[in-house]
Amino acid sequence: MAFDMTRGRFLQPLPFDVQFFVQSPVTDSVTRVTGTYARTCDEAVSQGPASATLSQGVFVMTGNPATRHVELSVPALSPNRQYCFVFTLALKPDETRLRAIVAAQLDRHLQDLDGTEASLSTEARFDRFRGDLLDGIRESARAMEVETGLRLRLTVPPDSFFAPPPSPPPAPGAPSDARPPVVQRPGTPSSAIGRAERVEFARLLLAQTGRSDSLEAFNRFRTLAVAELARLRDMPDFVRVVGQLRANLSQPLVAIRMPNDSALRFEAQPRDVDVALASGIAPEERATAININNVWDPEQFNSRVSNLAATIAQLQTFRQILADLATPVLQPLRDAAGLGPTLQSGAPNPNAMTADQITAVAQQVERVRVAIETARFQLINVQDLLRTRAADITAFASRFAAELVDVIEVDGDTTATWDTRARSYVSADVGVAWSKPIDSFFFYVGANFYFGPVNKKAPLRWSDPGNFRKRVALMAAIPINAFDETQTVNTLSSSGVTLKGVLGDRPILLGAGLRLNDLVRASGGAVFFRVQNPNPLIATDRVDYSWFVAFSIDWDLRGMFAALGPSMPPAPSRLRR
Amino acid sequence: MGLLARAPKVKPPTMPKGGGAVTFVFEARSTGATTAQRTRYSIQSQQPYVFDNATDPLDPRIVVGQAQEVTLDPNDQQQRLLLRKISGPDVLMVFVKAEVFEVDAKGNRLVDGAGQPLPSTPLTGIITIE
Repeated sequence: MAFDMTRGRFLQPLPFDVQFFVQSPVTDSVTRVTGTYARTCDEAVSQGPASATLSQGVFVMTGNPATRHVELSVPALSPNRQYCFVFTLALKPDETRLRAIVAAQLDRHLQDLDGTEASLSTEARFDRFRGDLLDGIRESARAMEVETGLRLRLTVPPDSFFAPPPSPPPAPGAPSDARPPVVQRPGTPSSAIGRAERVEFARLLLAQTGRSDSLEAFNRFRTLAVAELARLRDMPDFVRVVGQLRANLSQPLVAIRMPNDSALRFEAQPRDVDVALASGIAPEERATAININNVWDPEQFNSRVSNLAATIAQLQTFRQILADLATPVLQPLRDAAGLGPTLQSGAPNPNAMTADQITAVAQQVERVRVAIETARFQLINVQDLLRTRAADITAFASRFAAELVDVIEVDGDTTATWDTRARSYVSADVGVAWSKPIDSFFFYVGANFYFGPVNKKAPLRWSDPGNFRKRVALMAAIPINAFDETQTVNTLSSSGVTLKGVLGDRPILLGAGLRLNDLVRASGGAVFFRVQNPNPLIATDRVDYSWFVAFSIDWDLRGMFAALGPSMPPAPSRLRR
Repeated sequence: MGLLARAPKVKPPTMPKGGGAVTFVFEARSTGATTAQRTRYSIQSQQPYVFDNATDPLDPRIVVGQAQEVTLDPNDQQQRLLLRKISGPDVLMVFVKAEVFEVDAKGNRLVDGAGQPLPSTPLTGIITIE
């Protein structure tokens, strides 16, 4: 039975009393087709007690060129009945989009948990978290349904983290929940989250707690860096060495070692910029800097990490210059920088610094550098953890699966146009009849008129309902051969009366029959004929009859004349989606 | 001087409800010369588990590990922890907090320019209860 699911209609009247297959072309995006039918569409859609479910469709490649079709077996239907078929097509959804929905919800709910991850160690809190998460997913899925016009079926493995946690039944009178439910896929049912799932979720949590830990460590070492920087600025020797280096940048030896003052750039900032400096915030970005505790995008840390790297590089360079200044063999450099014991004039240098003094400054610079480097390392660690977390969330979200479900309702019935239906009520047969009173055998062609529609292709079984409709029919037949001119009959009043036909030279047979099986019918009734009056003076005939019994074989008139008739128009049908 | 610590893990990641032995592992490296670290492991009071190998006889929720050398190359620092369930509601996960301190060769905490101990680096490990 051809059916076009894209048009939602049967292309032919449905057969009755016989199993048949519905076949429709489908696209590659269709992954499963199921169906139900009932006398009303409401019953079929709700799959009520009066509905019947079809076996799941089988996909076949058929036609030339071969195209993908789905085939569903439909059990025998009753004749002259209206049916509504509801086919459910499962389509491949936009998995990327669904995964993004789940990942976004997981991301958001985990963010809400920031700093309180340990609270999930109790089962009640853990279930509440999962329940809230599923609510968010279902709401987003509902929005997707509204947008696409299709239903969404959300499925998860039986022991999934995403399996719905136990929840109280809805309060009486509460509005019905239009959001798609989350269904556990077949498998060993489990009320608990699988061990592997919990371990994986713990790993996901670990990335988040690691982020919190690293941000905490960043804050600690940034605070340390600010304090160490303040102590450095408070060192008179630091002020002196910086001042002398700036003042003597043009000295050839100093210029060779220190072509510009970039190594002193960190020092040029005012003290109130130190917090920003240790945080990796450029001075001009201080007003727009965001709180990193609220940052979940690893790329948003890039500028801070690079700013801190620049400061660390300045500190490293400056520390190395200090190390050089404190090295005895580089005394000319120290003299050129104005830090030697005497001036060029030979007078004592009021800014002279000893190697120990310079080393003390270098050590403090190193403290600042280590603190800032540790802080920067923690920011890089946060970036790594956020990337790991995002990858874990995506992997975790992939456990969710979904199908977009399209429901097509089709009204169908087993009736067609009158001439088509008529064939269901009338059949032809050929048989042999015997009438003892006239001592005659007839080979005849007859027509059988049933009291209800009969599908001759349906196998006849006594155990099936509708035996009277399918088996009993009135018959009218005409013998194939005329009476023999010498054939006579004995009537009540005379004998040797010559028989004549009723229709021309043929009698007619009227009666009733019973189909014994798919082919053979037993019939009985009266054979009508005319007899001539035995009185030779009376020329008129009169109609007489006698009983007969007959056996016949169905003759498929439809098969014989189908090619001569008009093609059968399609039955009316409606599409509702 | 300078200690970087990251990537905490608990091996194995699961433990029977009654408790068991796990190893807390994390990655550490020095920002300069070779240094050392000492780590303090603790379980929050809300969690019904204590350490059977606690180092403080007055607080069974704390283990302080031995000082371990840290070099420029990242290496795994390890500490074996023996957990035991005590009375209290069952939990799905146990959170073990670690504080990593930079120490000198004698195991004493390093100090900053003002003589105050350097900040520690917090790490968290999660054990899933089977």
